[in-house]
Amino acid sequence: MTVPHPGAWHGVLAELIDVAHFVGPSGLVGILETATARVGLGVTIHLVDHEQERLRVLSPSQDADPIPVQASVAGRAFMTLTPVPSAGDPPRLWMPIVNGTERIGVLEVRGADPASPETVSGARLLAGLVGHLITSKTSYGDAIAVARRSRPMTTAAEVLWQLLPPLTFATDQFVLAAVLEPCYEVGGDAFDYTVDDGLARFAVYDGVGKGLPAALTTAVALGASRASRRAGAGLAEVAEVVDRELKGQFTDFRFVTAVLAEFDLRDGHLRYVGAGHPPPVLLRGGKAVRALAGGRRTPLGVPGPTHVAEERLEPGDRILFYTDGITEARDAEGALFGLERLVDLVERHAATGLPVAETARRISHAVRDHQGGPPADDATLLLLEWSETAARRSVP
Amino acid sequence: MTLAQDDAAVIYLEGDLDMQAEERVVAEIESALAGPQRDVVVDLSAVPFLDSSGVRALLRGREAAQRHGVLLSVRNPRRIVEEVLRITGVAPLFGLR
Repeated sequence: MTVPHPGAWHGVLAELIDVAHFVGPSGLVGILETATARVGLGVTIHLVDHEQERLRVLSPSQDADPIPVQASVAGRAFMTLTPVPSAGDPPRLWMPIVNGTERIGVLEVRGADPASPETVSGARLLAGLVGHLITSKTSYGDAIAVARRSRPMTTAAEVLWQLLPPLTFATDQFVLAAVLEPCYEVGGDAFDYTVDDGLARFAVYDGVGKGLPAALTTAVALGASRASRRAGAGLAEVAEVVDRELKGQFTDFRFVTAVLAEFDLRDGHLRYVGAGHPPPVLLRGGKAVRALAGGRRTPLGVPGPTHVAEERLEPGDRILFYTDGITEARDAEGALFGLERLVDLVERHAATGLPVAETARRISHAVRDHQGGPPADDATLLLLEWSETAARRSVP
Repeated sequence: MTLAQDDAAVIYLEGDLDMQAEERVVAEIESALAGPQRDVVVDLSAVPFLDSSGVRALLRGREAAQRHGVLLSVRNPRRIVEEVLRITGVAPLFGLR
């Protein structure tokens, strides 16, 4: 088997950067195939679907069978964020595709010795560029959005997903990962985060009710939070602005429960407001140590005095945020998933060394399995880990 | 079912207080308010489950009571229901300490 010269990989990158200007989502595969074929490589982009269960080929025909994430070589690369070679004819290298730390899918590479370090480093660079290209091109057409769906979305879910940041973000000091289900019908749940100058600000929201009315309620809360935050408001003031905007927009007592938080990545200082929302759980040394039940007030939209609670985190700490759709998920006999089971799962996963995003995915799937299908109510999970080790595990 | 007790109308709710029940509960509170002017007590002893739509129904009832110049309070919540009222931070609005 030929081993492309390291310079050949750089040639592919240079060509892609050059020709990508005039290409939308449906043209991406074509330029990638042309550039890699020049140096004797074959590549296929597999995108993970929204429920993170299957990898789907991005191609004009879309006729290939999706690959299950669980129990496949490609899936192993996706779950562990490590390149995985596979023997066979032809031999392949499966390289995770991320944008930043957001897991997008897996790049299948043929035509180069998958065990050679040159192939691995070349494929890592190529998958990195492909991750950026997929992300930057997605909004110019529907091809990528469609390829990631196993079925159509409701209007509410379409509205809501447009408002959310990517599921995962990391700096070299911390990682944050979220999962939101049922992803094709989601209504009132949402999460948000921003990180600037060592200060991470994040929130979890749960708008009352279901479907489109809940999505619109949560959209107002998200918009008001962001606008006031970007205008310099602190936590308490953000809560008050959201109160005002919800009361001003809706006359039917809509509200949004939320946790609004700021975390200083330099000294571990956490400040938060719990607006009618289940308290987040602090995990230290892999064990749940307490619920962060301070800073309590009424839900956003039901004005009341706002107090900001404070907590000092230690390196390695995790915080688990969730909405009641997780803990109130019921199995066929009516048994609740419950907080105890949720915390137990997080504790057990803390020991596995998997990426934080993978832990979040597995817990969300455990909730789904408990119910025997996608949740009836919106169920959101957001996991934050203040750890350089966890950050390093978030990239291939 | 609404009964007059002392100076208050007591509404006995039954069944889950969720999205399906929201409009019915608000209507019951409003019909109790349409009678002679007196405070309204919502008895939750026969409500096994209450979600955020249930909270919303009670908030709407509370606002209707305020418009009539009377108070709406809640009594006898089961443990799980009381927990929801506490987590959502609205328990004090309904006279639960």
